[in-house]
Amino acid sequence: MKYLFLFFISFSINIFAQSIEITWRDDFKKELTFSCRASSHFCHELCSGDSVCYLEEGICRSCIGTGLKINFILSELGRSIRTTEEQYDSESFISLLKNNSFATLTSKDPYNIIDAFGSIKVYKKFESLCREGSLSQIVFLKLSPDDRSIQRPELVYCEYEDSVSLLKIHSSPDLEMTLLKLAFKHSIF
Amino acid sequence: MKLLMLYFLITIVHGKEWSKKDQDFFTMDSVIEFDNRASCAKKANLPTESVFLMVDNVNMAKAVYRLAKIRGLDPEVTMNSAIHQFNQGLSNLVQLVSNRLLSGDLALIDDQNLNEKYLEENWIKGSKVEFEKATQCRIVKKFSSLFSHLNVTRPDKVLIKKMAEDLSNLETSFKSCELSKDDIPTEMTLFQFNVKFNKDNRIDGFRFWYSLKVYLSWAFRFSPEIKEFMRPYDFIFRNVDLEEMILFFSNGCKSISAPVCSSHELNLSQLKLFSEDSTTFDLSSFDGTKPIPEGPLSELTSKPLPLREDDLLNLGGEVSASDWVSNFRENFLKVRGVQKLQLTKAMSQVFLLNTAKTPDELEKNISEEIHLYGEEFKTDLYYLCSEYKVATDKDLSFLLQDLMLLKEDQSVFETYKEIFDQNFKDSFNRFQLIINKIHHLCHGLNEKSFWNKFFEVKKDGFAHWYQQIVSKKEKFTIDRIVSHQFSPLKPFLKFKGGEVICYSAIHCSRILLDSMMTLTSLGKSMSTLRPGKNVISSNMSNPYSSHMACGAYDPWAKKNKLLFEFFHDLFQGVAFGLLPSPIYISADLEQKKLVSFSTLMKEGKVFYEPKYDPKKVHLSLIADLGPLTGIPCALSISGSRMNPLEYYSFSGISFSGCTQHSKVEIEANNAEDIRSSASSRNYCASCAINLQTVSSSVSSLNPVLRFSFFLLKGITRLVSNLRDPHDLHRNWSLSTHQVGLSYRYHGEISDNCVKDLMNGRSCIPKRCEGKMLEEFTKKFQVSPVESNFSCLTGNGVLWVKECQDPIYLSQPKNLKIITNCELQERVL
Repeated sequence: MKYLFLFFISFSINIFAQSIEITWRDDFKKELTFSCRASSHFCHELCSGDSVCYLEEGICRSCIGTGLKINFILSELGRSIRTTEEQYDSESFISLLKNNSFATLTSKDPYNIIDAFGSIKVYKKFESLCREGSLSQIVFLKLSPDDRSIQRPELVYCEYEDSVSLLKIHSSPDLEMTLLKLAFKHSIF
Repeated sequence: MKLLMLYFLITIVHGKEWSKKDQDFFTMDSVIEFDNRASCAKKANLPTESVFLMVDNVNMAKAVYRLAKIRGLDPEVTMNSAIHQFNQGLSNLVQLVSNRLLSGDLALIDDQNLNEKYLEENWIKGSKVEFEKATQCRIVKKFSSLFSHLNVTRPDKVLIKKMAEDLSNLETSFKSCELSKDDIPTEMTLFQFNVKFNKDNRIDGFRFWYSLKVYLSWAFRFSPEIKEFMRPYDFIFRNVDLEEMILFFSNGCKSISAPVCSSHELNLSQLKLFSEDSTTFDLSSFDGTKPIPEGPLSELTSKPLPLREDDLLNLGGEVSASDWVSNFRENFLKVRGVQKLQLTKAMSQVFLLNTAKTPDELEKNISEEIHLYGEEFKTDLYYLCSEYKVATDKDLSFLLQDLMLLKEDQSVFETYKEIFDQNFKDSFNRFQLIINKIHHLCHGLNEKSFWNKFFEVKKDGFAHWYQQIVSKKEKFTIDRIVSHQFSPLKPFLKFKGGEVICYSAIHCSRILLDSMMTLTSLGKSMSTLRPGKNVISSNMSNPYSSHMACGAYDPWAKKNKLLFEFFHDLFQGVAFGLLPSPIYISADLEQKKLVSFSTLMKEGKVFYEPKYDPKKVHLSLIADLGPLTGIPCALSISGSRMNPLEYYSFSGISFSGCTQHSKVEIEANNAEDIRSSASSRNYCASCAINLQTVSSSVSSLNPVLRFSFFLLKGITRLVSNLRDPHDLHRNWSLSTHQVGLSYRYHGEISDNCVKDLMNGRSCIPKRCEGKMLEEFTKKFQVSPVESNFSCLTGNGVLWVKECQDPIYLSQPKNLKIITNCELQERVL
C-alpha cells in the first residue's frame, strides 16, 4: 500500500517536471535547469510553455560559513531534519521558485564547507531524505524575502530512474520513548 | 623668472648635504599618539580615526576551491585568484562606504532595528554624488616600530631611530591596498583604514563606525557596486558569512564603539586573549570554555591594572601581521568551535526534552522510577536532587540570578528561534515548572530519609558545573556529558533507530538542568558566537576600555587626590601659621572602591552596574602636647576605618607616642646620634623626619616660617606625586613624516632631535627650512640630497635624487616652487 501511494505521488509530480538540474555557469553563478512537458501546468507557469527553462538562483545570505543555522542544518540532515511520505504541494513549489526566495543544497555543494567535499557520509545524509534508489537529491532551503537569510529547510527533490518526487521536510525529531515498565520487562523476565 | 633665480643664487651660497642621500625617501603622513595608562583610559571615550580590519579568507577560499573542482578548473589557481579579488573588492567596498559616510552622502544611522529596504533607499540616494577619497587604506605586513604606540608608553631615542629606519623601508611594514597580480595571497589579511573626523564633516565618530559596519554588511550582499568590485566571483562571495570572517578593532587607545559596561562589550574586549601564543593556549583552562566561566568582570576586580608595556596583544618582536592574525584566528576558532558545539547541543537537548515530555509527564515518570527501582536509582537521585538544589539555592544567588536572566536574554531567544523556530521563553517556563516538581520530589525523599548519613557518592558523577562550584574542580574535558549510574535495559528517550538522548527520566531532568546551565554560561559569549547581521568590532587595543566603562579605573582619581593633598597642605600651612597652638588637622582622601556589580537586563541585553564603597575623607585632629608638657606625646582624635559608613567620624580617642604616624623607619641606636637625653631624643628622631610630628618643633618657629614649612611640605609632596608615570594623564605625539625627514637630514636621531620631534617639529636646524621641506616632501615624491635655506629671506634651494636641476622654494605665505624638474605627487 505504501509503495502504491509513493508511486502515485511520483507519477503526479512527473506530470509537471521531468528533472531539475543544478549547474554552475562560467560566470560562477548557480542555475537551475528545468525539463518538463510543455503542456504541463508547471511548464506553463514557470517556463512559459517551453519544455526547458533556466532559473538563476539568488544569493543565500551566510550560507558559506560555519554559522549556527547552516551548521545545524548540515549536521542534522537525515536526523532531526527529515522527511516523511508527505508530499510537498506543487503550487507552493512553483510559488517558491517564482519568488526566488530559495537556495539549493546538494551533497556536492560549495556551500557546504563543514563536511569533507564529496564524502560518502554527506552523500548518505542526502540519500536518506529520499526513498531508496534515488539518483539525485536537492534540498530547497526557504529564504527570508527581506534579507535572504535561511528560514528553514523546506523540501527535497528526489530523482529516480523513472520518476521524481518532492517531499516536505520536517524539522522535528522522530523520537522513541520507552515507558519504564516496558523498559524493565526484559530485565524482569 | 630669470631674475628670481639669480636672486636665489646670490642669496644661497652653500648647500647642506643630507646624510641618507643614497636611499629613496619613503614617508607616511601619520601622527602616532603614545599614551600612559591614565591618558589611554581617558581616550577610550573618544572615537578612533584608525582601525584594523582582520579578514579570514579560509572559508571563502574553501568554497571557491570546491566550486573550481565542480567546474573542472584548476582549484589552486582559481582559489588564489579569488582570494586576491576578495581582498581587493572588500577594501574597495569599505573605502566606498566610508567615503560616502564622510562626505555626508550616506546618512549615518544609530537605529538598532533596521531593515534592508531602509538601507537600500539610503544607498540609492547617495550613489550618484561624487565623493572625495577621504579614507586611507593599507595592508599591514608587519607590526614594526610604527605600531609601537600599541605597547609602549613613551617613545625614546632608540625607538624613534627604529621608527625612522622602518620608515626608510616602509614596504616591509605596509603594502598598498591596490593589489597587484604578483602579490601572494594569504589565508589572513590585516587592513588598516584611516579616516579624519574634522569640524567640516561634523561626524559623530561612534555613529560613523556603527553605520560603516551596518552598510558594509548590506552593501556586501546587495549593492550594485559589489558586482563590479568582486567580478567574476561576486555571486559566490555574496553567499559568504561575512560577519563571521571579519573583525574590526581600533588602532590605539580610542574606541570604535562607546565603552559600555555590558556583557556584549566586555565579551568583545576579551577577544584580546586570543592573541596569546596558540602553541601554549590551553583550551581546557580558558575561562570561556569552563562550565561556569568567571567572566570578564572578575578580571576587573581581581587582577591589577596592566601597563601598556605588558603588551596584552602580543605584538612585541616585530611579529608578521599575517602570523599574528593566523595565531589569533587559531585560538578564536578553537574556542568558538567548542562553544558552538556546546550551544547547539544544549539547545537541542532543551528542544528535544520539551518536545518529548510535559513537566507533569516527567514528574510522573520520575515518580515511577523511584517507586519501582528506587534503590537502583539511589545515586542518580542523589545527583539529581543535589544539582537542582545548588542551581536554585538562594545562598548561591549568582547561579540562580544568571539562570533566571537567561529567560530574558534576547540573543539566546533569537538563536533558539532561528534554529528551532520555537519560543525559548515557553521552554524556560516549562523548565521552571520542572524545577518546582523536582524540589517537591526531593523534599519528599529527604523527609523519608531516603539517603542515610553513611550514603556516599562519587564526586565525578556530578555534572561539570556542579563539580566546579562545589568541588572546586578546575580542569574539565570539553564534552559536557552528564553521566548516569543505573541504566534500564531500554533507554528512556532516543532517536528512532539512532542515538540515545537520556537513559531515564531522572537522567533526562539532569541533562535539562545541565543544558540550561550551559546556555547561561554561553549567553555571555553570544556576541562572538552568533554575530548575526552585525560585523563585530572590538576596542581590544585599549587594555583599560572595560575598566573605564565599568568604573574599575578612574583616570582622574590620581589628579583629584593630588590636588586635594596640595590644597590640604596649603590650608594646613595657613592654619599653622596663624594658630599659636600645635594643632594639626589631617585629612586623607580615600578613593571610592569597586566592590561588586549588579546585573541589569535592559531590552534583552545584560548590563552591569558597579557598586562602590563610597569616596571617604578621613579626618584626624592631632594636638601635639610635646612642647607644652615636655612629654613626647600627642592626643589624637581620628576617623575610624572600622566603620565605613561614617565619612566624617571622630569615634576614636587615643593617646599615642610621636612615632605612631611615622612611616619611615630610622635607626637611631643611641642618644649621641641626636641629643644628650637618651630615650626621648631617640624617640623624636623619627619625628624630625615625619612632617606631621615635626610640628612640635615647627610650632616654636615664627608664623611666616611655620607657613613656609608647610608650603614646602606641600610642594615637596606635589612634585613627588607629579612624577607618577602611570596615573596622571600624559601623552606624546610623533609625526612620522617629521621623523623620516629628520633622520634623512642628519642620519641619526640625537637627544635634541627627540625633544624637537616630541614638540611637533622636525629637527632641521632652520625652522623655515624644516617647515618648507615638510610641506614640499609631503606633497611630492622626492628624495632630498642637499639643501640650503635662508630664513632671513624665506627662500631656499633643494636638490633631489630624482632630478639634476635644483628646486627653488620660497614661502611668503604659501609655498612657491620654481623648478624644471617633473615632480610626481606623493601617495601617502
